[in-house]
Amino acid sequence: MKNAFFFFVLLLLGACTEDLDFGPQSEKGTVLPVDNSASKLWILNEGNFGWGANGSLSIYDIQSNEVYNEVFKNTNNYPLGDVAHSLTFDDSLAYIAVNNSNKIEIIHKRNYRQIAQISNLISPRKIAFYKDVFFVSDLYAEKISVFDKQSLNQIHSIETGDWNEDLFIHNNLLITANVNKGELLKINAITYRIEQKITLEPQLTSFCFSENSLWLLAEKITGEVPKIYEVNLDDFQVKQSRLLEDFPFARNLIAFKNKEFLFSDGNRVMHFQEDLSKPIQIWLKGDFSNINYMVYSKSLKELYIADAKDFVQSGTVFRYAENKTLLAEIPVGRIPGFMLLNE
Amino acid sequence: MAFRKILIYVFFQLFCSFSVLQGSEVDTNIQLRTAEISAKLEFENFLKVRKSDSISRILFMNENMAEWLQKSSFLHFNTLGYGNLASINFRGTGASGTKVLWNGLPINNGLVGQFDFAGIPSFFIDNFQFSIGAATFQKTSGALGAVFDLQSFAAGNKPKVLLNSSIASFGAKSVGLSLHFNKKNLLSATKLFYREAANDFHFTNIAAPNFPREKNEHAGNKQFGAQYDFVSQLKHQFLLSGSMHVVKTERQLPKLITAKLAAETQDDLSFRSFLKLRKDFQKLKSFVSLGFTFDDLRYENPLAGIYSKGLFYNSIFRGQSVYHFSEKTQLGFANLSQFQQAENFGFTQSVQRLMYENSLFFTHQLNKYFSIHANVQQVGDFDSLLVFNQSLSLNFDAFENKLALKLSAGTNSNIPSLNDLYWMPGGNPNLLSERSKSLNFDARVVILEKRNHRIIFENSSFAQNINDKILWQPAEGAIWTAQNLQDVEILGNEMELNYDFKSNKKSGTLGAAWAFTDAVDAKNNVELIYVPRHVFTVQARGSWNDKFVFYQFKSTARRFISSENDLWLPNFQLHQIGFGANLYDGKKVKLMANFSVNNLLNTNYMLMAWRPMPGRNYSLNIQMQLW
Repeated sequence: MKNAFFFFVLLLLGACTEDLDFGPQSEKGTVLPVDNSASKLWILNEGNFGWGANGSLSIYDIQSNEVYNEVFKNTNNYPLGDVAHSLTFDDSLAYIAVNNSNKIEIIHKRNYRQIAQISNLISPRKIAFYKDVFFVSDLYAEKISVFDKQSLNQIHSIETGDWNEDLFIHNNLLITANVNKGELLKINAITYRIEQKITLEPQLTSFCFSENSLWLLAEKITGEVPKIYEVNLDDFQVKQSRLLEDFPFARNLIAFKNKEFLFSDGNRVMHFQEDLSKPIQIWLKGDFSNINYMVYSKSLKELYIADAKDFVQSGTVFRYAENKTLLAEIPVGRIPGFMLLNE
Repeated sequence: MAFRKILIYVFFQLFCSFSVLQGSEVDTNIQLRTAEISAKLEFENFLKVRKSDSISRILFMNENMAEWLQKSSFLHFNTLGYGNLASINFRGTGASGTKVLWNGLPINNGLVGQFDFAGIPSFFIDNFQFSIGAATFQKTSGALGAVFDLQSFAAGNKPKVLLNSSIASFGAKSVGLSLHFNKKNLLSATKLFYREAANDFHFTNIAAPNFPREKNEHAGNKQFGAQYDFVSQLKHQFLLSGSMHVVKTERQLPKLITAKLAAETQDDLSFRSFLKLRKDFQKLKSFVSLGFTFDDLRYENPLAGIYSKGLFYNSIFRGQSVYHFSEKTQLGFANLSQFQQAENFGFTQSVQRLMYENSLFFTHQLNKYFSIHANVQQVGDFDSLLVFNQSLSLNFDAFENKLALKLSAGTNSNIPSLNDLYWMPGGNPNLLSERSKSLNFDARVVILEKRNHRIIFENSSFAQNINDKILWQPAEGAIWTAQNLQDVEILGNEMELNYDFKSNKKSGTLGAAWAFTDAVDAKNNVELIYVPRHVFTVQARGSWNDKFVFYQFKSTARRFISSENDLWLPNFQLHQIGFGANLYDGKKVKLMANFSVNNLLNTNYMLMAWRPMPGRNYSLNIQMQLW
């Protein structure tokens, strides 16, 4: 009897559940997108910051009108992470900056399988490639990290002293902004030195290019007035600017048709032309809750609008033709916040 | 209008104070804590009340209140990890829908509305009880779910010193010293406590490729504090009691397992004090209490450059008088007034509010079997907020307390927290109070009572609607704003079957409890997140010849973690055992030890998404009592 008791105690103490299904669960059985040459829209869903850690990748097949959600998790068998912030293509690879998971996931564009992971970044935001290196901006690090493409080792860092967001390569220059200070920086992409700096408005978080100009939108979140700038990339001087008094929630500036631009303002899409003195007009007022990102395809002549809804539930991407016809409503993951066309 | 309200308020204050100070008869009996082996469930003041048991108190004396409560009951807490912020979403009423009293005075933090159950050491609490039902507002308003009453007091007929020391897994160690004195008409207890834990357990990282075993890092915490309780018999048979404590809790916040870096810390300092003057006359029982609480909450994230500080001060007055017209009829009045001040890094300036609750309650025994209890309450803050709460209960009691039935219905309301009102950006000064309507039916049946054996069946069924529940959601421009958005419908049933056995030297209890909660967001017809639909517990306790054993099995059903109910955490089961014994029992020295094993089967589980919880762990606790 005594032996049986000790055997029972040992059995209990030795017991160890090895099941791996103790974390967040969802319905299984999502089909993965098959590899084909069709154009695809990659949609990065941030996920619920902090408590959900449910950032995800959705792939939308433009020709078949099929959407595949949770592509990263279903391919690699682990979650993408917390706040999947941006996506950048480089040849056959896709680089995903996962902000609150302090990492960059590198996956193959063809099969979505993970190739490598860069970890121990503080809060990576955007990535830009230049020859054999790539640059990574950061929300908190106050520097831009420079990585070698082959080894994935960090080889340099550029001290900026502020939060950096968008990164653009123009000739041999890296263009970025010190978001809080409202400074636009011109950095030599070879020597990694800051060559020029001009001061604009804080919250420079929305950039786009048009010919030889950089267009910037300084967003405001505390009741101040947003502002649009056109900066000449050659002499780095402001060509024109305009306060957006009637558009307090202006965000998501993108280049549209030739010398035309769009930005979102709450649930509206606004339109303006290259000459900022001309009126800004409503281009579209759809059934959106919170427009969180927009991307325009010049080849398809289509506009994709990501609606984050209440930032809690799953989002929707709206697909519009240039004549404003709604072509599709695409159900995606939580807080769609970045889109990239692989045409 | 405001002046008129102030006049009414002053009148009530004076009436209350006057009532207390009148009369000549005194209750000289200083109530002592009675050791109960089983958690007791009673209908007290027409509320369903559950009280703590002495075995779990001994076992979890070195823990915090969240650990004590969840390891000894069916209660389910949401926490980021051991020692970290722990809140309860009782019956789906939200973290701020549970109110906590310390010796009768409210101690929820007004900035956030909720109470951190991990922020107070079990060592400082001699007893707790929690009350559920339509009339919880007679203790304090806003308890849409439950009121937890944490009690500490000076007790003992002779001086004694108690030294409690423990070591446990993952670098946990604690020491507590309690000094009790008895001098003429003064009883006092002084308590000192220190605990630290590295919390560096290993877990399987299911968010990383190939699921590596990793160590939980940056998860240590420390808690220390001091408490003083006294009770004194004054002239003219007045009874004066008081308590004061200060608790400092320093925590490293462990990272999500999806993250690579951790740097967040949280340091909380709480000071709480109260004085209570009581006098019982022949037909009138009265008391007045004065209290002051202060919370200093600091959060830092050096990686993100966030250094936040929130200060909350609360000056409290409570007075209550109950007049016994006869054995059958009682009428009572209570006033609770709070002057709250707060500073927060999210506020543009410091804020103040003065709130009052005036309650009138009436109890009448209709006949041998039936009694009724009615409550009305007025809640105001001297500005625009004015809410009336009311409840009505009908009790049926028969066969010498072997059958008790209670049907109650009522309304309640929970005022917005200061962060909900004033946080910039997104705070909304126009928020309404959350309003609740509830209907409860409770039954208690003594199935068997024979010699030393007793079997009791208890059942509570409840239905509740909460309107204007406050949620933070993006408004225009995607700025997160507090709004009265949600309507919640709650249906549930809690069932218990307990067998008790008691003889001269042995006692034991075996019980099973099942709590079912269906809490639904009525607008979207989805279940609320982090509310388990089922919690099932089995408990066994026994004591004999100065030894005791304790066992609990707890099964928690899946909890949705997304508002669309497409993501969830799966169910999990935990076992824990504990046993203890007197090692030495001399005339002036007693030595006791107890040992417990938590998560006996080393179950992997999460209480919050992507936050791992510890596997099997051990705790050894030694107590020495002198004199």
